[in-house]
Amino acid sequence: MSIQQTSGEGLSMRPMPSPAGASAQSRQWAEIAASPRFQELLAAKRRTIGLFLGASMGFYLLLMLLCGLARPLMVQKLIGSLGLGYVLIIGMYLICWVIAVAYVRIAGRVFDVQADAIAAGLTSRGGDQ
Amino acid sequence: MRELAIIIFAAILGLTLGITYWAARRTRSASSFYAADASLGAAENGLALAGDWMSAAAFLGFSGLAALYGMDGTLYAVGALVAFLPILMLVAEPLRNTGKFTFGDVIAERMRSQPARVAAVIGTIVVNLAYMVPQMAGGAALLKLLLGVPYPVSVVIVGLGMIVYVTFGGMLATTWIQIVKALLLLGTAVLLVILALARFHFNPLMVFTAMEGRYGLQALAPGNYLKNPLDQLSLGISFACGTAGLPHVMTRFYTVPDAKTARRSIIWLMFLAGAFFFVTTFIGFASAVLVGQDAIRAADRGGNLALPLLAQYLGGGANSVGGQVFLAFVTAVAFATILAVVAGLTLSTSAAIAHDVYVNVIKRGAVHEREQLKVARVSTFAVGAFAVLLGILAQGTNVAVLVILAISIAASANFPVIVLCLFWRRFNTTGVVAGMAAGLVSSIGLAFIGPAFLGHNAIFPIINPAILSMPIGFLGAILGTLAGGFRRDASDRFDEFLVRAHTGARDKK
Repeated sequence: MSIQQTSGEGLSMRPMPSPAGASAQSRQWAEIAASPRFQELLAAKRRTIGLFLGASMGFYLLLMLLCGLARPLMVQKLIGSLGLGYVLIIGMYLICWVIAVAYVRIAGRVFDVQADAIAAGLTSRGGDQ
Repeated sequence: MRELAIIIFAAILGLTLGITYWAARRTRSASSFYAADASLGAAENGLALAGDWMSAAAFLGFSGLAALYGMDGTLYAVGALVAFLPILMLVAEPLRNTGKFTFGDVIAERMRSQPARVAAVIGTIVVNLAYMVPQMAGGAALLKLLLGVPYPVSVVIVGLGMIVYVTFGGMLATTWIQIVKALLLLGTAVLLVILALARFHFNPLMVFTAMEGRYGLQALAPGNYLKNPLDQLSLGISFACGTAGLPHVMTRFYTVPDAKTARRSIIWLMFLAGAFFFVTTFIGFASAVLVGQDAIRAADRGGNLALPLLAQYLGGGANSVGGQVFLAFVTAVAFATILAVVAGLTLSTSAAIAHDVYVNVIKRGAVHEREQLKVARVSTFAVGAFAVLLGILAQGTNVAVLVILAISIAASANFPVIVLCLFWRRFNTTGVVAGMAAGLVSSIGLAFIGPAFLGHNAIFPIINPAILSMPIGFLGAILGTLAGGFRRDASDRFDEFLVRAHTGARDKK
């Protein structure tokens, strides 16, 4: 990051230069935010994250709730001395790893492509300050 | 034994100081000091993240809790891994795309107001100090145990180490010290697990059987440590949300060039640190079976020495050379762990003071690059000195309590603010300030009247206050926003913020 860029961003913390310029700029951002391409990206993210995070966190909080409310059930033996609780905990580790890898793959193949296209459009129009 | 320990300590200190010297020559600007010029790769940042997150509380605490309390210790460990799913999917990317060096940057970028930035600074400093003091106290206790140095002197040694690393080497030194520490820690864990497994015919199930045989089925059950039926759930909420609100974890995402690298570094963390958390239960159980719970309790009431004692046992016992070498090595690794973690915390705290308060609030951004770097170093020194003072005062307090407090405050104050800031159009400055205040007051207040401070006389029955204080934090933020009223320009700015957060457009200049 260059020195000019650093001090320039520092200055942008000051009040907007002129109301007219500011509103023109924010209109441009609003346009991009409302564009179908950006809305598509948000919707895709919402679907994936909602499913992945919802499922994993749901399982996790349920596990924690069971460990509080159904303690005898958690030591119900399944394999040797390994109880239901420990089997669920091992499952939780696997879920974390699988979901994280799956998310990163989808993000790289889908979200990044969409995001880069939008950002490229921005630069060509000079929208980014 | 003492000579050997001193040699290992000296070797680790020498290595870290060498790294600092190398890093200092590359630290010439505020951007390199705070964020290593956003130039780190996924493996580097992932290892450093893992080094940052495998703290002494994890290394010594999780295995100790498992040894003495069974499944509750395992639940702590798994929580520390689960915590990174919300960070991966919700927080890391937008944070990286909209901020520069700090948590305050993101809030200020969205709100364009000084009170909002100041609120984020307060959240940063309170959480970091609450997290730092127990680590320092733990490091000092280890030094005292192994070298026989008096407690206050030990705190000063830990403090001097972290001040030197960060003041001169900035983010680059901090990162590489965390990487070295992560590799040392993982290597130690692999060795310990293999040696311990050999005692159980390489069948992990036999550890569970032996645990049950010696201490009964209850030793494998949840509820031995977290007694209230809602304790486990509250712990889970606290981990899942609090970790995303830890400013020194956020800071690590500013060190990478783009969102893709940020995500891939989380994958590194989740496999390396996750595998480590996974084996802490095994290490704890092996220690309980081989060393014995009574011996573990005799060494430290909280069980924090279960892992070093197991290392000593596997090396050949307390009176053998092998046992002494193992103990000295493991203790030195634990010490390196603490140095790496407090260095990260010092850096993040000094960034909040120098970059947020001095440069952006007091000087309104009009500070020359060279002076920014000077101010960063001065504030690092001041933060370090203050932390040393707090560390000395913390002698004799239950350090685990402070860690709970730190992560609960992060879940209740920082997390609601960051989430609403990223995803709620109407969120405004009043909401930031009200949410931060409500989260801070409720989490600290409930912890003070809870079992961690009052024991059996607790007024609030749950150890970890997040189950109640996080909703209070959200409520404060929402009510504050409604009270602050709707502002057209703030809503317009959200469009820009949203586009940048999700596309990284700022970097495509």
